[in-house]
Amino acid sequence: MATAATPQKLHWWQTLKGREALAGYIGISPWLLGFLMWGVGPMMLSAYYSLTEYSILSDPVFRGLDNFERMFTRDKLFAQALRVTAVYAIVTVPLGVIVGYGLALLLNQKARGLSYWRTGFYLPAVVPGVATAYLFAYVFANEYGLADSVLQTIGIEDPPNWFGSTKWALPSLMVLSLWGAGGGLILYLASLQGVPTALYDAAKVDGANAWGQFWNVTIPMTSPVILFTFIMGIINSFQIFTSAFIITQGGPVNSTLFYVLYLYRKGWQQLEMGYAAGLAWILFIIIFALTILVLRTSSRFVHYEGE
Amino acid sequence: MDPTKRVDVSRREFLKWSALAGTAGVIASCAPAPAAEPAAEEAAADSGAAASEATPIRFSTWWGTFWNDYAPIIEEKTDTQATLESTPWSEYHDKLKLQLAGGTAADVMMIANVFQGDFWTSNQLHPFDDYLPVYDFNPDNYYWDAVEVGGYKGEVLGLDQYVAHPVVFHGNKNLTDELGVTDMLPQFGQDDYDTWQFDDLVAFCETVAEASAGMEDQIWTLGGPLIGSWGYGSKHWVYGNGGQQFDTWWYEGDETKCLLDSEESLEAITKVIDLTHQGHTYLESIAGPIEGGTYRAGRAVFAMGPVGLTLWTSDSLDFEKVYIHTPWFQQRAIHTTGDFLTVNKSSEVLDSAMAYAITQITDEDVGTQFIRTMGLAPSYNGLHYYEGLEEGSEAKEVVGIHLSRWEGFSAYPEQAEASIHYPGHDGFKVPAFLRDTLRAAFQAAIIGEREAADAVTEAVADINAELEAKS
Repeated sequence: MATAATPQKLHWWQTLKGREALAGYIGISPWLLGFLMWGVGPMMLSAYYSLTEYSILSDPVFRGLDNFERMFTRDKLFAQALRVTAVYAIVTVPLGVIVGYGLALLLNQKARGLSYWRTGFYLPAVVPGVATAYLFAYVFANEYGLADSVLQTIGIEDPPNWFGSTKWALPSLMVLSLWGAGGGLILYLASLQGVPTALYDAAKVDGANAWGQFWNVTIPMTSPVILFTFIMGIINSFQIFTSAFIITQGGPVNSTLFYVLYLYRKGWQQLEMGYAAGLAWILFIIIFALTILVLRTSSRFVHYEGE
Repeated sequence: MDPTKRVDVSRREFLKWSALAGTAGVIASCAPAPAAEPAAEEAAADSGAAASEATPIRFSTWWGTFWNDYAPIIEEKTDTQATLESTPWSEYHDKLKLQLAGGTAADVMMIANVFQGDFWTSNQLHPFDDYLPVYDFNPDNYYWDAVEVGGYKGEVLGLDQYVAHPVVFHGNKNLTDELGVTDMLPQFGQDDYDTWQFDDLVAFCETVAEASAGMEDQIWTLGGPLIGSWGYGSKHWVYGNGGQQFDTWWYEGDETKCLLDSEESLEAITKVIDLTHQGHTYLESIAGPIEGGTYRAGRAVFAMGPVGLTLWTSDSLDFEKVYIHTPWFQQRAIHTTGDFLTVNKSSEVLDSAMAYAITQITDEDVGTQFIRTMGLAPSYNGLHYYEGLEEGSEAKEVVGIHLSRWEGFSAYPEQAEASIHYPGHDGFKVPAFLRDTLRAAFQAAIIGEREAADAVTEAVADINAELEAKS
């Protein structure tokens, strides 16, 4: 007499779902291990170091919240670095988005040699930051530089000493930031070309002129990409370092002392790695808070297809 | 199997094999390298038999390939084979800190005098004290007390490689000839050498301004401000006017107060910055990128900088050079240290590293090559090498200027006796903070944003607060 087989209980990794999950985790394990070792690990360590006095060449000594107390009560340059970086971000992030988007609109037209134009505008984005910094050091060099030569040619006798003046050094670096505005070009272009032509046809039928089509179709349909580049712009602008490090070293008179440059100075030049770790965490909190703020308020400005 | 038959692989199968292949790759890359084939090992051992006797050593410096001129001599005498790790000056010391922290620093490391305070307290340098007697190091042959210039808490942590070289004015003789002012200059070899005080420099600036008034291109007397950052160029003015950096003259971590807000210091700083404001100075170097460019371009009579054959030699310029010593206020001043050789405490070849460093300092053949290549007098038996230089050569003149404020070395003994010596570094407690803070203060004064005295006084208050916090 045949007996019915009792169903055997399977372990989770023996189920179809479990096997797939296991294979997936094994597949991503190289990245996961790297993230834990080189991302999470250093972050946790830096959180600990921010509570210590640590010169990197000797053992850290626990000091509680001393570093943060010093930042907010005694360190004049902390406030200066925050102010300089905030001004830079407020100006360059919207400016970068507007210029990049404007270029994308131009390059989205049907014109001869379009691929060459696109390559040409994108090219600066792949030039290394150090090379760009040196290039602009010469462009804005006092008297001998390209900028001053042009200004003298058009009759301005006494052009600014760009990087040598507290008034002009930061604006000069803001102009330099536009050099990489083509970086977002690819994203904007892809987004512009993904806008369904049917929407433009419908807008035309409704009597929309070119501006109306741009405002009511193009902008809403590309707004997720604008939001993305805006957030990335905020993150990048708060981490600006190379141009000031190469050209001005934070000067003159700390007028270009960006936050990360100050952090570097504290950590690697003054060997106050505990304090620098504290600065890094404050920066993380600022960027995180700004990103959340932008995301939370974005629903009023950003249109997602299908919503 | 029919080759034309299509093989279907499910998504799950594909995922599984991909994951396995990826994991295998990771494991393979983590596995130790396979042992060399015995035959290859033997062959390598045979072919490199001679080389394997030399101990491999790493030596880090910012001097670049100048070192190659005398490196073979040291290697031969110490049975070492050194690898040069050369990093540009602007990044060198920051990189070295990173390497020391990461345990990857070289066995023998050159460290600039200015950064002595940054490294001597790190507990990463091995003292020389026990090794010096082994190499018959005679302190009497050294140009200064080794503990005083390279020591910390009674131990010698660095050996100064050459007699400290002063800051001088590098001049453009073609330009001074064109302006008709060459005869005014107190050049080396003349009776009035090193007699210019600050007022003489001011008078010279005015003469240059008058003489160059009709020229098509504007000419400056100085190719950059005389005070830009807090280095030994700036200290020269302060110490020369009776000021000093801290409340102790020779300090090794016992400094408690910065004295740069004293009347003497502020007077010197203010006068020098005022000269900048009078239009005799090209201000490009505040921005940094093309420092020295105006002088190189032949539009400034002088560039201020350390003397030495490797810096702005006649060969690298389009004009003939003329040197004068830095003018002074009340007294001639000179810093006391050059650049140090140090040994990494974590070196796995400590004995060889010590041999390498000490031989580089004391060996006769190295010293002979060193002075010819660098135009700097070695710190050990410096005068002996100077006397061996060919009369009339640029090296002889440059080293003569180099040594002229050193008693016992100088061709102008009376002037050397009237010179004072000050430490080349910025203390052991807050050296980098002090430099950053003073640089910003000088910049504010130079570009006319603040009065020099106010800017420096405020900077000194910040430095003193930092010193107090570190005490």
